[in-house]
Amino acid sequence: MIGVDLTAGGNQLYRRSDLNSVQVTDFVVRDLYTVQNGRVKDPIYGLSERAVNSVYGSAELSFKRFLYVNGTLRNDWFSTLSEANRSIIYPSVSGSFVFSDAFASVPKWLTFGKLRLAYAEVGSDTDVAPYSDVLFYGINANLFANGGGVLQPVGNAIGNTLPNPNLRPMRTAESEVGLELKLFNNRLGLDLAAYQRTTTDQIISAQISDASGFVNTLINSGESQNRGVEGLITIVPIQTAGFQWELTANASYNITEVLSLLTDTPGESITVGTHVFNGELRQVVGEEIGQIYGFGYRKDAQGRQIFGANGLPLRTQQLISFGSAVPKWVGGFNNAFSYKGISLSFLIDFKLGNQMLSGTNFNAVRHGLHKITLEGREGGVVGNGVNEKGEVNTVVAPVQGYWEVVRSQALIEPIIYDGGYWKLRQITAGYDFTKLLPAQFPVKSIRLSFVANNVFMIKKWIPNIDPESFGFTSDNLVGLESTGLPTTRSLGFNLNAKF
Amino acid sequence: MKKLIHYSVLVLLLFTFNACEEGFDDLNENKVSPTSINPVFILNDAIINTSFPGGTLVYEIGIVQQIVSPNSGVLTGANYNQDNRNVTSSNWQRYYRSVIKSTRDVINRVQDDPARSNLLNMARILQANAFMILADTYGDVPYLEGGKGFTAQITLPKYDAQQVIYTDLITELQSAAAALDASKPIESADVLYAGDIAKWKKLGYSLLLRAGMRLSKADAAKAQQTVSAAFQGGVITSNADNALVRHDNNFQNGIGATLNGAEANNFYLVQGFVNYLKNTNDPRLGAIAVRYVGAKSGPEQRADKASSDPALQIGMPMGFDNSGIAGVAAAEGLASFYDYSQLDRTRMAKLNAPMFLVTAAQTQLLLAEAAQRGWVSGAVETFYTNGVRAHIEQMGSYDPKSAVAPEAIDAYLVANPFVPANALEQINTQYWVASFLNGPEVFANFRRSGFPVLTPNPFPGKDIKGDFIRRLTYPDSEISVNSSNVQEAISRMGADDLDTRVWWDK
Repeated sequence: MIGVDLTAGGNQLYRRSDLNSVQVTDFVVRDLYTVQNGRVKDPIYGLSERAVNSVYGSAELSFKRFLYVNGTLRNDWFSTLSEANRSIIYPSVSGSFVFSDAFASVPKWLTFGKLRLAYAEVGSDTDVAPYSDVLFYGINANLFANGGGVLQPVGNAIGNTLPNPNLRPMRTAESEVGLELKLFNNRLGLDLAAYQRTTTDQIISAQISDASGFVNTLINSGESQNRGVEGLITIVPIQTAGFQWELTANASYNITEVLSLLTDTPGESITVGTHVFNGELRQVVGEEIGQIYGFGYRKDAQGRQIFGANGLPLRTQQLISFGSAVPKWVGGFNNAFSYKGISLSFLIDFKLGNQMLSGTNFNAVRHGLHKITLEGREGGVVGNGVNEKGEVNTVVAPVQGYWEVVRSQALIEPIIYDGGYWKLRQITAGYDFTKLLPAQFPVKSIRLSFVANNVFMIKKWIPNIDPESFGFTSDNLVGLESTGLPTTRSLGFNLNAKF
Repeated sequence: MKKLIHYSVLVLLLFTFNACEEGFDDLNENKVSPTSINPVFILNDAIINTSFPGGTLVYEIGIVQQIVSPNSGVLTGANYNQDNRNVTSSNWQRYYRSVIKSTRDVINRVQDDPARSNLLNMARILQANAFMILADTYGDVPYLEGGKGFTAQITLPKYDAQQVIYTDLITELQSAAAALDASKPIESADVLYAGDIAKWKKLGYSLLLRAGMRLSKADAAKAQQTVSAAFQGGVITSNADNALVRHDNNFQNGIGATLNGAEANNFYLVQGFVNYLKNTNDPRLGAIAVRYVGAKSGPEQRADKASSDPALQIGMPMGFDNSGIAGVAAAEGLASFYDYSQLDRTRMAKLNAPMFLVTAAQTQLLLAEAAQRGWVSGAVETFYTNGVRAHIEQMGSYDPKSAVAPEAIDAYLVANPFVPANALEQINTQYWVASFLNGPEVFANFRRSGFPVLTPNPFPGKDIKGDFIRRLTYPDSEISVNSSNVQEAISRMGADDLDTRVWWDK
């Protein structure tokens, strides 16, 4: 009753990207869009290659179909890293115990029960761009005349990223314990898991002083720890011959803390992403990952806002934290009903516990299109607070200048919001036409359903935009919304036929 | 117990672990971008980027009241005497990222190569110029460690006191200019002077003169000694030796790009500047200005309404925002504020207009002041006249339609003679005109000399406590990522605002 399963293999990944483009501006003949017709031409040819070679093996042991142990070992080589750092070996081991099958005397209500334990490491080059270890030069596509009128080449070091020849692969180590239960003949199901994931040496782009000549550099960023619990519960409250109601709910709570960056000094920080306008995302030792930083309103010891002699808001001397942009709670509820071939379900989901910087609201504020800018539209604004001497502010500031400081002083405080939401995510309604089909009909089953997605915002805290909108997809720009296409609601029909 | 062993191998390992990285060195080699190029091409990039960014219109050129915008938002700056950090950072970003990054690289690549010693010294001169602009703009800036991200892996450079920077810049300029040697290989690919050693030497000594004169308030002895050394070394005396960036359609003039792009209808010549030129019948007014007579809107600024007739030019007064200026324009009998005079974007501010970095006009006027102070020998009036004449003659190199006839120059000089009793004011007011569009230099010389005498901008909502902006503020990115070094500079120099005076301005 012992089973052994061994697997070994190799894998090779190769990616090549070729880019050929010519950008042309300033046309000679109007409305003729050809390369030849442009006065200014900027041709680009790019070529990049990357490869990952891997060998791996795994072994699975099973005992009497209720105890399973699985182990793997893998070695990866990344072409993007230097010779000394390109290889990484990482193992995993997991076990599961189906206790409902292990004992003869399990109670009748326990349909299925399983306990699992796992430990896994994974290595990666964080998809770092090829050639990130060396500085390269580009020759400008156009020549430039010297004093004598002779055309001469112009060239420079490409890009604003300082190359780092010492990058190492990152490693993620994850431990997980889980319990899966099915009770009362599948009327109640429960799946619980708790995990801890430690990530070391993640390759990230850290902003540096541009007085160095460069804007950022790639570093291996120390260690961060992610801990969380998640649960899934499935209940079937009503189940009769014709009618069934199934309720599923899932929720997870998850926090990632930065343990170290270049050192483990609490408060050490690196800036990993900057908003198109103002505000930035930082990793800070001892804090949750993804802190939104920027200038806030300057306040005195009593918390009163301070205004300048011209009545305009002053900003903090330093950038301050506005909290993490990463949600702590994520989950949803689904209710599914079926009655004699008719089915109906709706899903409500939520994300909670994250802050958000809204670029759309930022633009609205500085252009006077936002509701908060209405006050003082006629006759100016007197800011509620004190002046730099601590006296009550009485200076009337013009409303336009009062709000334009969000841009000129990079003041993001008015456009930071709780980014959480509750949404009616999806409704589906369907009917199964199968039973109406003649017995000899070539189609075996037909099912038609109506599906609506992103149906209704139940609760949100951010004005004017959907909290799910964003400007750019990047882990380094989480929570930094900027003007993009609005999210959409979709309505559609699904026809499912089997032959 | 029945034992069942299921054994499978999906893939046999046919290669050894060593073979797993075979070819990776070749694969990780960039096939389209070289790891080194002739360093003179890198210097060429630094030369072109030394041309002043469009942001100088918002601050420097506005602070000295030559060009102003009534509009706010990204154009907030000298017009309202307010701190707009999006623009105050423009010199910083331009000179560190696009000039010093390259000059440090060139110097690093050729410093041990005797065959490229001229290139080395050319790069040192160009770099000193960039650091001088940065120190003049902000005060204390990263100097000894600045721009060394690649050459020394310094990612968070320390700031140096402006006095330390100037002391070293003077040594650098003097030693680099002296070390240029026409008997060594010539860098003919250079786009500034085609490698002409005599011209590069004159540029080096002219910058040395500029650095020396800058210290006239802070350290007169050092100023005199430096100016004297520069004069003996030989400075630019003719427009043929001017240092300029010859912009073309591919490498565009930053001010031209701003004034021919989104901001075409937003910047106007200032009333005081226009009136100064008008009152002295200065032929340069017709070379600089255009007025779209009767324009009621931006789109109405059409060629058929354009006039460069000096008599028709009307400058915009300082101190109004775009709602305030409408009433002022109406009171002056203008169709709208679009009816005020502008810098002509089809001539002096066209996309491919040259940008002058260091000129004979500026250099001769500095010598006039030096002679007035008794620091160099020669007649003050001769230097003065040469300087003014050189700048008027320079007009034609912007555009043939801006050229001034020789008789008009003579007539102007006769009508506006040098008055020794009024020497410093007259010389530095001419320097103000001669440095038009060289924002960093005109701003620095205004702070140093106090001339021309300008009426403080009366805009009511100013951020500053004094009458004029005395420096620009550091970029927010520095306060964010290089905060401890910035704090050290602030504790030494004074608050990071528009009021703090830099060392040579105390």
